[in-house]
Amino acid sequence: MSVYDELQVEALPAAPAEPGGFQAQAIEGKSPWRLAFERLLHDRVAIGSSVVIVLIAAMAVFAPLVAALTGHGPDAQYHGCPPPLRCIAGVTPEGIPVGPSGHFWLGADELGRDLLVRVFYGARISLLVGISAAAFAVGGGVVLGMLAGYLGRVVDTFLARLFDVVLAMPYLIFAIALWTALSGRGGVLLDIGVISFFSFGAVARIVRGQVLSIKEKEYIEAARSLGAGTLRIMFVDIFPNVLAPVIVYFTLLVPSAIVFEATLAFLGIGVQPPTPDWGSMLSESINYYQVAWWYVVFPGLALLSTTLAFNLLGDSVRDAFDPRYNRMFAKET
Amino acid sequence: MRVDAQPAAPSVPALVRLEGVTKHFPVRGGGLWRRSHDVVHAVDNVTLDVRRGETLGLVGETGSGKSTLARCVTRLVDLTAGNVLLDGEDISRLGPRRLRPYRRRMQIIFQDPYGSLNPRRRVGSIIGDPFAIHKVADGPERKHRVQELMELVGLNPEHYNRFPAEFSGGQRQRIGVARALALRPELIVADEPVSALDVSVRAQVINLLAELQDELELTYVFITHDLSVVRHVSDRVAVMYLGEIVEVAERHDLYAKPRHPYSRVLQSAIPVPDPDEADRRSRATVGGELPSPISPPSGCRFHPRCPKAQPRCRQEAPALEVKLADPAGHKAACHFPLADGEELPSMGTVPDEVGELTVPARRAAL
Amino acid sequence: MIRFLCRRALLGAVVMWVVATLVFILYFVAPHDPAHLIAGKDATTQTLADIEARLGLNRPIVDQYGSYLWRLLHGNLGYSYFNSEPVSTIVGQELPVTASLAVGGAVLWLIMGVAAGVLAATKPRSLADRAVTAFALFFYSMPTFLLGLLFLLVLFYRLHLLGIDIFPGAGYVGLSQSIGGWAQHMVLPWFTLALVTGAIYARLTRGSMLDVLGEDYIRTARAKGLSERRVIFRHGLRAAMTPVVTEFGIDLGTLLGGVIVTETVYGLPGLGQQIYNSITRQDLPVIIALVILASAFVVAANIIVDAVYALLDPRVRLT
Repeated sequence: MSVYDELQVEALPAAPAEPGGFQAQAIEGKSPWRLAFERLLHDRVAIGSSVVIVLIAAMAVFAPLVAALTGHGPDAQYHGCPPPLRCIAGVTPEGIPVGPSGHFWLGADELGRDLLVRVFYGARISLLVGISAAAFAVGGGVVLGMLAGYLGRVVDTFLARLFDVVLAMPYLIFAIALWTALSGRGGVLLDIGVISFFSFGAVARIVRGQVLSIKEKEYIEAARSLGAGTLRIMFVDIFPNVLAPVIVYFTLLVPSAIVFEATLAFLGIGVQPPTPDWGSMLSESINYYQVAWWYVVFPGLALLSTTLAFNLLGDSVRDAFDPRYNRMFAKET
Repeated sequence: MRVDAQPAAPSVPALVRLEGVTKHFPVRGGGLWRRSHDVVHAVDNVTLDVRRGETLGLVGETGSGKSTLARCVTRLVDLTAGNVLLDGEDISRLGPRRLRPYRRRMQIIFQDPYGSLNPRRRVGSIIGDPFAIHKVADGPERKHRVQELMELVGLNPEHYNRFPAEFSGGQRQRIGVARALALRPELIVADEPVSALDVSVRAQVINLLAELQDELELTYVFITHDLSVVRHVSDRVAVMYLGEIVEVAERHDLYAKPRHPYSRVLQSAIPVPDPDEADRRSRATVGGELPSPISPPSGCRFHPRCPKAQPRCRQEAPALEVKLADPAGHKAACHFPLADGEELPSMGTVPDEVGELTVPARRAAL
Repeated sequence: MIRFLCRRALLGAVVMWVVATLVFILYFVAPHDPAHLIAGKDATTQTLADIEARLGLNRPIVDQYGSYLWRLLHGNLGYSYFNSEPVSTIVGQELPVTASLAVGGAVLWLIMGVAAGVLAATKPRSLADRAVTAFALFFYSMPTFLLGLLFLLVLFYRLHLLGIDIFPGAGYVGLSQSIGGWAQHMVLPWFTLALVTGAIYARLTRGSMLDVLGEDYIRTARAKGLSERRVIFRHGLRAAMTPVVTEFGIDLGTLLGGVIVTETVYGLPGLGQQIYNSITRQDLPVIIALVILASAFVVAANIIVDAVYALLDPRVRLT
């Protein structure tokens, strides 16, 4: 930028709007959000993974539709009937699940339930828990992180230690213990609560670090010199600068929460049978994987696709906000 | 800053009065068990007036405490001791809420054009901040006033929605100036406002500040380490060394007849464009570096580097008062001020440590 | 350095004592009924009274606390409510399993992750880099139990059908019995545990190395004429390791969770399975013992991590 820019700035008149004439627009600067969003739109990986996520969400939303179409409810068991009658059997009399067939597109489980329908319904739990737990963790983490960072000293020391302790706790053990203490009640809410609790520490730590570095910047001092109060500075000046890494972390927290929930369900914690859940399906499948590969593959595929899609999206989002980031699948430049 | 006009008369009441202002920062050392008791003596016992309508230049090297003093005056920090009076009212001990109305009357322009503006906010919003904070104007009226300000400082008001990243350094400083002017303050403390700018741009910003002073009847405290700038803009100049004021005088007096050896050194360090003349003139220099403000030298803080130092200088701190036959406004803090035409004796070797002198034998006696 | 470690050790001992006390408060003071748990649902009042007397549940709390601490220090961890075996015996039997799994897995993921990350960072945009990042992403998104299941399905069962029996399906063979058998049974669990976490480390190392390799002092080292290997390992890796060490410190806590899942999938009779079963059965002595053990492990591991930190970054030793 040279001195001449300044001269031009002062001399520039607003050109009159004429048909056919050149109109000097008041050029709106693009906010960093807009820039990031546009970068995202041109990112094939981001588009691909977003499509997958939309599909999974569609699975969750349209699960009842699929149940209606196939005629099988998510909890309906098809044990077949003795010879004179004819009805569908999802499981043989010996207890072996039926594989993918005309009746059961993805096969059935050990109780004769339609796996296709159950996998679709399973998406509900995963997405619900994943997104809400991530949202709560981020919400709590941002608030506490900002408090710790800005208020400093005693508050900060105490909170920072808290974050560290929570982060270091073996969360699975505590989740198990909590579930037992509640005598096996709680279901989805327990999942969301536990996952949020053990995830907020990471968010808070990041936010705190950001706030600590922003706090020293001169524009914060400028705001104070203008007479701005603490709250105003936090909301207007600090928060927008904190938001970007938080959003990135959110997109990475969702798959982590989904995996956490599936693991809990796998161990029999949280969501209880007969509620369809990918984790509990996989848990049952351990006993049948030798005779029913579909029982492992289809829920597993659904779970893996979901987490992969979110992780890829998170990677793209991070790149959109910070082009210097050494992303995983960079385009050749 | 009226370059050729008369400086403000001494009988004009002071807009800002500093009385014994002291600011010490505790040194954070060691861990939880080893709390350090050291302090950084950033500003020590500064007594100074700023007269309404004038430009007071504040000069000193990095580490002399100028920026800290700026923050003391505008109450961005709490004072360790001393008083700050704004138009006769004592604002030294007021809390943030009570201070708020005073904030409308005094503002700071910061040094770093890149750090002093929030990169994620639009320029119009940044300049409009004061209106929002003090609930002065809202909505379209606020926008209108912000655009007025932008025109006032030489920015295109149509760039209201741009981000700071889209402006050059000089333009960003103008944004900072616009923000400072929003509520029509009486006092503006400019903390090295042009030091981070290209030399070619500095003149523009300085001229802008000069015009604004006339138009808006502003009082400036102009902080800088650049001596040529100070000579250009100030009515009066105060020289700081290691947290203390060592000399204060009308601009012409300081450059014609510096009393404190440090002032003399600074004054002779101003580059002269003509190489022949540069050769001809005599340079006064001192060696060594600025000692640590954690344990400043005893007595006169300049004594380890001063060619005129005597034992008295180490024992007794000189008071800031009128020396020799100077007019009332010209004060210096020196036991052996330079007389008219007196040259500083040159130093032999370079003393490095605080209090330690390695120079000529006559010093060994100290 | 010695003083640093001593301070950390002292702090660790204090933490352990706090943990033991907290556990005591939680489980002895909170409402529960061990007598019923041991005796079963149809116990007579007499049986219950006998059990209570034997366990000393009638004595004042402070008294119980005192003997609790005393016993702890002597390694007496009480008796399981479930099968009345001494807890120390149970732990003795199952610790080697978990230790094999945890240590083997950790070593494996560290080596794999860091090596992969360094490889990817030193050849950016190459095929190796893309492969590493693709695999890292894949395994990073995979829940541990799913990976275990897939291994069982493919590497155990399908290969078994084909007559190839390298990987056993479940169970554990002690190290003392047969090294070959031990290794054979542990391979799949190790990789299950290590691949997922290793992916995280690969990513982390790659990112950290890329940052470090872009620094000016690396350019200087190259300009000085140092061999590329020296530049990467001596200068680059050392600086890049700090985030990895931090992550490792955090992962130690979550390692315990990963172990539970892996043991469940492969049917390994280790402490992970034990703690899961104990919690659901409310077998308090075992739970207490395992929680304390787990805390001791985390504390000890953190001291080691701190020591490594101090080795990597001399500034840390001053704190």
